Amino acid sequence: MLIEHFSRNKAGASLFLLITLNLGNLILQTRLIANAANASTNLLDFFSKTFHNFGTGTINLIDSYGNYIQVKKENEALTKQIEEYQQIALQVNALEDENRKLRENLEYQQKSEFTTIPAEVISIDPDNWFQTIIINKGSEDGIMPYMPVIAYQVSKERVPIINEVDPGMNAEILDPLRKNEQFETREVLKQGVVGKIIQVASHSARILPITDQYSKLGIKIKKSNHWGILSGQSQSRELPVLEFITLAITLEEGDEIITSGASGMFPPNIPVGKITSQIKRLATFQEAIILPEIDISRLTTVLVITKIPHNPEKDFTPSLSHETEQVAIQKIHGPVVEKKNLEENPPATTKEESAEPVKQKSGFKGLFQ
Amino acid sequence: MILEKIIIITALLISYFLQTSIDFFRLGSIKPDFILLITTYFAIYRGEFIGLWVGYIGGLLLDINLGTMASMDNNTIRQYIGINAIPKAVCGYLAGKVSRNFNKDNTISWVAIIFSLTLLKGIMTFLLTSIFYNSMAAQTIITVILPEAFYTSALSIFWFKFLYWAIPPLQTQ
Repeated sequence: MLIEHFSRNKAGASLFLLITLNLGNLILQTRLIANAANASTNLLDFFSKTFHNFGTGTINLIDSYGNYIQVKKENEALTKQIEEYQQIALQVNALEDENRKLRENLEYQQKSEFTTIPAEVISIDPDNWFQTIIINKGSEDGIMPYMPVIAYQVSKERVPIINEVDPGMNAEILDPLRKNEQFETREVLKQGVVGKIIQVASHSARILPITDQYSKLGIKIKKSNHWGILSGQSQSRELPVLEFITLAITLEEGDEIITSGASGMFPPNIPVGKITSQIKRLATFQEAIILPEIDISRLTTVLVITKIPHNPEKDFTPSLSHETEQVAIQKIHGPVVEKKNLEENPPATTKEESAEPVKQKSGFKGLFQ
Repeated sequence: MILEKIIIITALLISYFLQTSIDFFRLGSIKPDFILLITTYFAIYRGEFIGLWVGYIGGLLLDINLGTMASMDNNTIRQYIGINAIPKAVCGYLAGKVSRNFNKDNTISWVAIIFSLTLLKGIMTFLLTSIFYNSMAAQTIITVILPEAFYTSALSIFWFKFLYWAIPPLQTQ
């Protein structure tokens, strides 16, 4: 009877089955459909990349023709400016030398532990509900889950006009001059945090941006070094919120926010954003809306920092198969010694040295194997 | 029959790429729902069965695009599979059923259908997300669902005419 009814009403039966299957999957949180879906991720991302490249190429072609005359005028103006800048460059060289000597005196060590992998954005914000950014680099290029992602972006900013001041002037004389300084809008190159890698395929990866509602980032306020948490909000509120800041400090509009480095995921002191005028004082903490340094809606390229989260106590479970994980680790750290080989042929090193690669291996489990 | 399936899959994939890879149609923070537009088009002109499956597969593609997320704290995995697929499948089915009682060539009819379906899809996505993931602010209804419904239905005036030209209904072929 039921089969007869279903065979007569194919659409209704299909709808019933699909809803039951998907709701069951959501309620039980089984990985049945997720596994199948993840298998097709590579293929979809390949087509996305092709489509994106085709679209970008066409737009670039049209733009290049339209911009030709403007570029010619700009070229003439820039040639004049270069002559002026050449003079400035000579002064900068002298200052750099002086700076280097001062740094050497202070025994300053410039730290650059991590390398970066540049990647191009191939998809951004697929719908109006969740935010995901897909880039064209994956585990084959050395990318792993939870690697931090940053970007450089040119944006317009009001900066004070620097007048020529006699270098002999001391600070007291300069202060009243600074009060009357004028501002102009200039294009400034900014560095900032974009988010973290949450899923990696062989030639693509997904980023969870800091503005997404599921994003949490450990930060500190640059001026006072107080720690807090930057949480993304729902899509209806685009800017992230800075939470759990003690009432002991006075937050002001324009205060800079940088990464704290406490989570072990992001390196410290990367610019995140600036506090807006929306500051709320709660009973025990205060919170503020943050304007990120990087405008995610016009993101085209990003830099993935090849830093694996340093938190051995927690067992991370990113969605990366063991084979692709090993390829990615090898790209960053060189060949990894397998545990089995270690047991059979123990190297002539100390126990601490030989244990290191095994710890790395156990730290990342493949979910969809 | 095979050609028909190829046409449907191609149209669906193009809609998916327009939804995910092209930012040209973004108005503020709102994008029109191309997957829902193609779902409704096929539901109206090919029936609820086709509409249902186009909606489901289109929604599933979006869910895959959103990816899965492993939680760092308790070894759990958050998957979005179903969040877009269920509402769009229901919309495809309903569009096919409802369109029988409307004049398919009347612009106002399809704009009204698409406006209602986008609202319904928005409310279903809102409820599914709130139940299975994270409670969402009720404000989302005003800031996301309504603008999306207005934008998608407004765009449908041109988009349906384009689709009618590109993929004509079966009876006129």
